[in-house]
Amino acid sequence: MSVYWWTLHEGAAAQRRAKEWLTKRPAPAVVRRGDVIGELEIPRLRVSVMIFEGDDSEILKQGAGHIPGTALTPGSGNIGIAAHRDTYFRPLRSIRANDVIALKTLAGTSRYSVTEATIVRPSDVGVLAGAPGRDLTLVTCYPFFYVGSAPERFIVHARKIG
Amino acid sequence: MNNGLNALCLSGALALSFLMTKPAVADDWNKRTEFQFSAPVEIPGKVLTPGEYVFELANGQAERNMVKVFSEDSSGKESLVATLFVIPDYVPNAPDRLTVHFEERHSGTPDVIQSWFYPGDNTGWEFVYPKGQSFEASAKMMPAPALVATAAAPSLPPAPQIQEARPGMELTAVEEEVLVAENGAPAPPPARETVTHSSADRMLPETAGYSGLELIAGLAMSGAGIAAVLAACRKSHA
Repeated sequence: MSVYWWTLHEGAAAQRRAKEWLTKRPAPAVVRRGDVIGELEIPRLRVSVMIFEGDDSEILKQGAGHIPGTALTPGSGNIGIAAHRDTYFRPLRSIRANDVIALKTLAGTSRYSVTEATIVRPSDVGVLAGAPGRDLTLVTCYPFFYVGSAPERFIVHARKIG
Repeated sequence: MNNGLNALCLSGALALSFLMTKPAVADDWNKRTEFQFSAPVEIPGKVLTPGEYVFELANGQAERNMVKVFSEDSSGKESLVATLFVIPDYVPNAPDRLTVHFEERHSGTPDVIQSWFYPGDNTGWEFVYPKGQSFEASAKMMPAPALVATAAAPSLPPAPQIQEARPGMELTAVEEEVLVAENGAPAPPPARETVTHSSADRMLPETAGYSGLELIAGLAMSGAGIAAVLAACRKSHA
């Protein structure tokens, strides 16, 4: 119980620190693992989560993770963001087409519209590739309610609208 | 004693047979429908080649706005083709047979499935096409038609013949508007950044989270609750 509580507490503290950091610091010249990338919001689902660089388990305990190798700045390609299905990205199970996603970074705020959701195998990394109308891809495990290592991935694609 | 044992065995067998029987209302719940397309048709982001397909709503209570499309091979084995968003579509009078709405395209391009209605339901399911996406998918398959000829007299293909595989149902293809005005030469897709990082090339990130911890915490709390109840019972007996 205490481990579980401590894990949640640490995640919330990391979110707070990252939010403060994002409003105070200038953009770093080089992005390293663990750096704050920005904040992701889905207003309809009341999702608001800070994004860190990296997608390993330590990063995903703190918040959402930017998948290394995917685009980093809005408008430069397909940005890949992953987060846990049982915490930050659990509301994604209710996502709908045309839901608006806001991505706040040090460069400004970009808005995206959800175009597609799909379920793929963990090896289907093609969903992270760039394609017309695919500017932001959210990744989480599927099924959303599953004990253990979930066998599939839930993918949400969105296109930039502003 | 024997009667009690027999009753226990009988009730156990009944419970087992109930669990192993596919519920009769399963099709009504997920609107599972089998199609056989004789010509290519388009769904959001994909063109289905002629063959047998199954459309069904995702089973989750919170996922009723998603349709899974499976392809069916000759041996009846199903494989997932796409998971798509749908939005409810409404007609005043519930059709008594399966109804599919198409949007026709130019000659040689696949027709686009707009929506489908399960028999007896006046709420159907409409596929969501991002603006311009359906044409983009068609444009990948076919050379861009000449704009003048297209605008003057488009030659339309016959509607694809679809046989609905469920017995006792008849399929009606309703031809919808023809959007010839959108068939200008599409702008070339902008160059996009590709995934090059090694970690993303191997596997999508694992996002299992704290489910294991939640399970352990839940079991621990349940155990503590049961222990408290037992202790209270013993105390009251004493």
